Amino acid sequence: MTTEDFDQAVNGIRPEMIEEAANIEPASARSGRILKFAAVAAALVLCAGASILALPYLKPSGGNVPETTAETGIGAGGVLEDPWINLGKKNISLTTITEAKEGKSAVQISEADAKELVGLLDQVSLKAAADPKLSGVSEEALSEGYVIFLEGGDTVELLSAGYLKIGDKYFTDADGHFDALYEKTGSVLSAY
Amino acid sequence: MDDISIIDLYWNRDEQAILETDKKYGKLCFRIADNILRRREDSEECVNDTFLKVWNSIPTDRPEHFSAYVCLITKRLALSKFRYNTAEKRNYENSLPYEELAEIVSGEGKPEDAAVLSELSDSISDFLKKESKTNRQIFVRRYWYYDSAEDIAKAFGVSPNTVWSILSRMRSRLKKHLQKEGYDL
Repeated sequence: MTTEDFDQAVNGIRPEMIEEAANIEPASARSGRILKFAAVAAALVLCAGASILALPYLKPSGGNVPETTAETGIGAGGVLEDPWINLGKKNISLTTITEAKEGKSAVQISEADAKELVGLLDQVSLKAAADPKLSGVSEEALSEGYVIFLEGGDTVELLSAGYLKIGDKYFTDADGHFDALYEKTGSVLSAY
Repeated sequence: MDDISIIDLYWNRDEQAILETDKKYGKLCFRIADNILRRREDSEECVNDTFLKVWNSIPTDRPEHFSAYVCLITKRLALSKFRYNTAEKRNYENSLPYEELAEIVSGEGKPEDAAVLSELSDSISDFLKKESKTNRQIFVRRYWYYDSAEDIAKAFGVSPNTVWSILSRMRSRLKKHLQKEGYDL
């Protein structure tokens, strides 16, 4: 198929999508509801040859933060007691990552790689998002990506569709750092 | 003025319709034309031609999505003029984002017939519908409106690199989606 044909096919997409793309809310108006990954403890702890890094915790800088409870908190730990998604309650470590695919096992990464990923994760500004499945995002688009494992079995999933999933909550990145984290996680993983 | 009222003006053959269309969609139409033609005079002429075409088409049309209707007319006129302008140079593939689309299709083979392209459009729409709203808007802004990554980045408050990354991943997913649908790309 020629690229010109394909371009013509793109021309024929549904008109509501053309309208939707024309009516984009200015970026400044969308920045009200933002949660910040606050850069807190970057304490590096070495443990049995593996790198363990204290992760920054997530704290809010704006309103509309989703409520979390012991049932809906981060991963298996479910340690959340305050309204914020707070990874800083435990001495969270980043030691392993994996591709978000069934049957893929986690890979233990080096201290340097872990440090770099923590640094990138630290820059991400979280914006609470509704469950993307409810707005029609396909399971397929939400099944590609990477999983960052934290101490205690908690996870941060980086989804190819542009979402971070922490526990059962979805977030988008308000400051545009998600992609650097996503790409770096992929490249780190491919090196092991 | 809302779109239905503007369409009513066209149906009543009231020339205010053109002024209202220009007021509401003139800049958007210019942007579409200029993304393709890259020449102010040509783009302005294209926008004026759009309004004339809309005036002549409504009635009998009563478009459900008026902005898309106007934009599509602008785009068709601009592409037509663009191909005319570049007919001898044959360099238009270098001017539109075809290099990126070449990651999805081989770029070879004979032109497809209209029915196949129409089905392909539906399939691309199905794919886009299942993407997040932001991803969908970014894709459409790049490959329908031909906006630059820099302009898209400004609109969404992200970096151009983020836009390129999102588009790259979407192209990869779209290719998989179309292959699953049986398209010989």
